[in-house]
Amino acid sequence: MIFLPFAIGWIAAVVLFALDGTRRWVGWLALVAILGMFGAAVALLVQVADGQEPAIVVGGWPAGLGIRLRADWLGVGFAVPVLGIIAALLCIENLRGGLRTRIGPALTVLISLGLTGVFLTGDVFNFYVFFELSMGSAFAITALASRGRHVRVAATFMVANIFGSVLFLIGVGGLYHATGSLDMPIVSARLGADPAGTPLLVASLLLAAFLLKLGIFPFHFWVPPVYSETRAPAAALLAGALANIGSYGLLRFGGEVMPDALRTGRVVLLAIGAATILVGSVLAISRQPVAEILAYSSVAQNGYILLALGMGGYAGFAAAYVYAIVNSIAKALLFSTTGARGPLVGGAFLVGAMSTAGLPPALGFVGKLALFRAAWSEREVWLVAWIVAGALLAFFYMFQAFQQRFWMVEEHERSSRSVRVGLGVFALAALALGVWPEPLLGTGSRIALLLAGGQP
Amino acid sequence: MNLALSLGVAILFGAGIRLMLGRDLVRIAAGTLLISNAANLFLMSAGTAEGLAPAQGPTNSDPLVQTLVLTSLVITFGFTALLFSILQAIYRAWKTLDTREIERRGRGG
Amino acid sequence: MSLLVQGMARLLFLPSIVVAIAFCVKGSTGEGDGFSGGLVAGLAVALVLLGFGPHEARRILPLRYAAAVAGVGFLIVVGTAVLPAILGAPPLQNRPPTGAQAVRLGAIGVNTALIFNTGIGALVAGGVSLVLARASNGSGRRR
Repeated sequence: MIFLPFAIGWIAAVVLFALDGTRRWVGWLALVAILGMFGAAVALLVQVADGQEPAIVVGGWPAGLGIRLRADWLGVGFAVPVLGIIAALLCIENLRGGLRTRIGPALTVLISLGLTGVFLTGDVFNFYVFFELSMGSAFAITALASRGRHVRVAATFMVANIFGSVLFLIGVGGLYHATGSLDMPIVSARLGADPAGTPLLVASLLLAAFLLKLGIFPFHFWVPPVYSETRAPAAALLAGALANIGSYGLLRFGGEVMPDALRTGRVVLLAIGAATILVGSVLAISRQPVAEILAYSSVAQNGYILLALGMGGYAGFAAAYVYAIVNSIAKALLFSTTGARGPLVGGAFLVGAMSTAGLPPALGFVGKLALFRAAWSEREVWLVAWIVAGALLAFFYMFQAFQQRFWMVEEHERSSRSVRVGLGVFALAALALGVWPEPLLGTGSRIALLLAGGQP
Repeated sequence: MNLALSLGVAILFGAGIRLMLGRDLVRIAAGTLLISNAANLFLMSAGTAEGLAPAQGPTNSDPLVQTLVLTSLVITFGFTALLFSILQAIYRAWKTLDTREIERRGRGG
Repeated sequence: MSLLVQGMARLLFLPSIVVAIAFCVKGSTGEGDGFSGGLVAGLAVALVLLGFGPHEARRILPLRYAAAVAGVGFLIVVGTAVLPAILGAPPLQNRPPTGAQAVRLGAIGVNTALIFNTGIGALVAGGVSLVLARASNGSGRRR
């Protein structure tokens, strides 16, 4: 029943738009809906693990003609963690009660719906539509979450991302020009048969679009203002959930739809990834508001994903996936702690900070390890050195952030207990995943097999 | 993909980018509208091309592409409306729509 | 000048609504489509807002129901999409299927595509009117 998460999402969206989101119970209703979608995604994961590949063509048209929704390892591998992250974020936000707007809960459900669609669709244009759905709702939430003079970042966010969407749309147009189909496997097959330079051109457009969305050098300019001037819940949503559109897009389009282009562009990807890590990490040091440090850190961490993709092959794809998920969880955790006070909050921040720096037993260690393995198997010394340097820089600026936040300031008032407990639970879950990373690593290797064609 | 369509896409895109590089937020918003529509026009031109696209009977245009463009136009329309409402909010907060002015004040002018 | 716009608004409003409904209904077989119908209706509302100013327009048109209209449209759209899935068929399937006999209302065949198009028309018309109404809230000169 691959349509189940969508059905839950759409019905919930209709209901939530009719209700008033400033009431507490509406927020909780949205959480129930998102948990429902999460449950449906887990059910799909179980089916995929069983060896099936649930798929359905909307409208009952024959495959290749209609829009195909399909669940494979890559799709559910992203859908399950991301929906889980959104559920956790919404839960904490409900407890905190800070962002009470009429359509807030409905918008969060729409973002979940859009992301589910992005991960589970097998049609290139449908991918575009769903990711625009998520981005549109994200624009609205960002605008609502940046009150007063900070609302100008909503415009920056929108304009930058609309430009990315335009590039993507032109790429999709190019794909249709070249192959006459929108179904991902068909496009992939037809592109493989076409020796002309069109695939490379289209791939460059799609790459540029995803780089813009992920906020990677040289398109990272919009991330620091937007992430730092939006209030905590929205920033957490952006960094923890929406950035995954970029990671998933790169994996899906680079790994499955246009693998030749990915291989051709290896050097470019490695270079951009390395530059991003450098720029992001260096700029993160000695920033003042913690949110800005986190913003630059997000930029840097996304660079690692690009590095992994550049390495390619079995190890590279697995590392890219693991790192993307690990980073989302860590950033969601870190951004949620902005504005909260109390001892448990410090612990939660610590878990996130250790994860970013790559220290065991936090989650990030697993990600860094996967990257190391990939780099080592490439026998490129400079790659390993770069990753180590990046980790050192990350340790440095995270330490600074922790100092700034929790040591220098005398804090008298604490956030309500439920918020602290919520953050504590989230941090514990992240820690648990770091101590027991098998599910994540297992999914990563399945995905790598899927994309690299079974050649470890 | 005939010359007129290509020219149209190029002009729209160029004009849009030119506007986006300006100072006034309204111009930037108008620029994004233009480049979005340039992309839509490009997408539509995919339906009039010959190539690997399956022949749709005697006519040359592909109805699927028209549906795609329609969807894309809806999205563009929605985003433009949202962008302009955000501009309204910015105006209410800053009393100006000039990006350089906003940056100056934001830096502590 | 504004008198000219007002005159045109008076003349064109009702025919525009008729055209909008026609687009929604003709959607599945002829030209037209739910979205274009909704957009034409929205344009008609924009014309009235321009010709009469926000104050007068609010007296003439029930703009406070714009959100409700959009909501009903949304409900219809989601229902049409989800209902087949609940009943076991793939979502958004057209009932009755192509080739089978359909219930006829005069010259129109009633199928789920028609309902879907009407829903979209309502959603778009309501949405556009809502945006226009909110945007014109504080503006306009008193006559």
